[in-house]
Amino acid sequence: MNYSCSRAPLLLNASVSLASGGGAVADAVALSSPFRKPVWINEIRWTIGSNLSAPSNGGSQGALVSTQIKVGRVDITRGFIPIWNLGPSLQRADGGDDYSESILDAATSNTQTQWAHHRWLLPRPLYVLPGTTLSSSFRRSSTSGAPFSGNFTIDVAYAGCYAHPEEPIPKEIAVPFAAVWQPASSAYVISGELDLANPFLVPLHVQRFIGRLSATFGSSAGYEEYSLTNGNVTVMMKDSQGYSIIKDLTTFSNAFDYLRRAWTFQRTLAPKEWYTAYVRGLSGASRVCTVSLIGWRNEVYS
Amino acid sequence: MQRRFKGPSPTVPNAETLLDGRLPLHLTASATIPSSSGGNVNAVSLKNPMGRAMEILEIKWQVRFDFGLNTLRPGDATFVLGGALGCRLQLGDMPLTNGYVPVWSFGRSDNLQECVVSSTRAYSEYSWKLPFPLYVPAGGVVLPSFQNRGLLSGDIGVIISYSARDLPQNYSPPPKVAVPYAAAYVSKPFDISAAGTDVSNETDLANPFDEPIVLQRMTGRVPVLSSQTSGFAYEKSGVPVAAEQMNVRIVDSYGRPIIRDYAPMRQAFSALTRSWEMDGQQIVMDPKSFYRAYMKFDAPSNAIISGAAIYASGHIGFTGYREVKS
Repeated sequence: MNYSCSRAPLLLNASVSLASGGGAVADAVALSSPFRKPVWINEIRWTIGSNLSAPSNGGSQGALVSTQIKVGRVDITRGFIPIWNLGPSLQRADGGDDYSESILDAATSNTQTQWAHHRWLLPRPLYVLPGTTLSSSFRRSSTSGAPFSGNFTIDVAYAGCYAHPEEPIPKEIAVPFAAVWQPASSAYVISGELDLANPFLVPLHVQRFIGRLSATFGSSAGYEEYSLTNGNVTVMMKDSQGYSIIKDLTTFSNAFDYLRRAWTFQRTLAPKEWYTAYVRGLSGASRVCTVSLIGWRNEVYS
Repeated sequence: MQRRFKGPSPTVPNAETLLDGRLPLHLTASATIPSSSGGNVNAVSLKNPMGRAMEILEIKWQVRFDFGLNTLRPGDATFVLGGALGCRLQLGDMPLTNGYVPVWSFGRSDNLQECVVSSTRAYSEYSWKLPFPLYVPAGGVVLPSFQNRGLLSGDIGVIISYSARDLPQNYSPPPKVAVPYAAAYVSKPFDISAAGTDVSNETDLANPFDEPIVLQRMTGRVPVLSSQTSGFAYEKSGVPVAAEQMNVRIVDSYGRPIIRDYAPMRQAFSALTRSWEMDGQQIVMDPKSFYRAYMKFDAPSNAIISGAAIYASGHIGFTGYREVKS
């Protein structure tokens, strides 16, 4: 075995700064495989940091920053998706800074800062061909003012490994896919045929749904309020054949587990089919829900 | 005599067969380690009481700090207990660690808030689920020894446990067994009000063996401590340090980039798990090779709380296994 060419780990990292309502593209060179070698990417991580003009907790900047990911011309996300809708959470929804996804620092710096950490463990490792790049673009919501002040600093990292030199290019590459539905706040909303859909001509293997509820705090959205999980907001889902996925209107946090904000299951969605979500109880401009669909499809490399 | 009942005969299970292996085992030993000192545990407590071979599946540590017996106040010294105590593991003449590895550098975290604090005591729990069960021959023991690194001025108590299973009397191990291994690098302490750099040695994150190590994970921790009398110690908070100021770049001994450009510690090692998981991906560290970690500590972008002298250091570790002839 030629040990000097073994499968070694690899992490690529880039950073952007976003003003409120702004957008940016992460440095593609920094996110490209060194030496133009093929790599496998297993995980994408984001850290979003900002200063605070007033103490805040329980809000995550992951709701306020969206990302669009492509590899070459191939979509990984359908448009821009809020970062917190890409991976399940590992912390509970709580106002306390010790427990939620965003961590408040008041111990070291005079200006309080808040850092949100999110990650997406890809449903299947993604094979990135030599010479191609997994590109990340970012967009920050215009409703991301106080208590946040100044720019957001977003770090994106791809974690994976080098492909072995003798490893052949796979005949089929499993390409992750994410789509999101972001309805306007209203008493009763229904998703459309293009929102939580399989737009491809191949089956889409659905891994999970991620459901997030938030309210505004100050003049900013993204506050994951615990009280929203107490039954005020309910959800029902059907597929495009009319079969029930969530049969009756169910408390949002029952459908999308309160701790992980996700419902993980295995289902194959046929080409051009879709899921329809019905959500009730979003009345009031302060309530926002986002439901995302995470999966992968096989693309033939030729 | 004619049997009246058909079917399996109701009998008491053969007691000797029942006790011939495959039973779960939980072995525990404890010690209190004074500051800047080392200590061992009672090794007999960690042997299979059946006198047979066993397989260890998981190693767990509970680390505690008694406020009443030390000069620090309740609330101080919490959250960094796993970094204040190092553990070395040895199976016969086979090292399972590269010297003393901080207890929190073996496994992944599952909670931002790892420490339980009362008015008298702070506890933290850590565990290392081994990549493969570790075969321990009859009469053998995985011997731990501990080092209180002096990060905190006080005694640290530790309970170490092995979750294992007893093996049958005539069990023969396979031709090759998977032997776990862990190594760690602890950087110098950085004053968080100023920039600085540090580099790991060739012997820190190294594979000293003739076999490749299949990596299970890499871990990254950033304890932040105040040197004030009524100081504090954080690992989950002090976030600008881990998320912005402390950056790491890693290359292997062939010059190949592992972390290509400087990345914040919380990006290199996911903030929520404090780890970069590699299990099941057949990621390999070559024989007689090492990883070199370059630390770059940036000056803070915001002013530091006045009056505090605050220090941070980086703890980077890896775990994995190698295959050894039994």
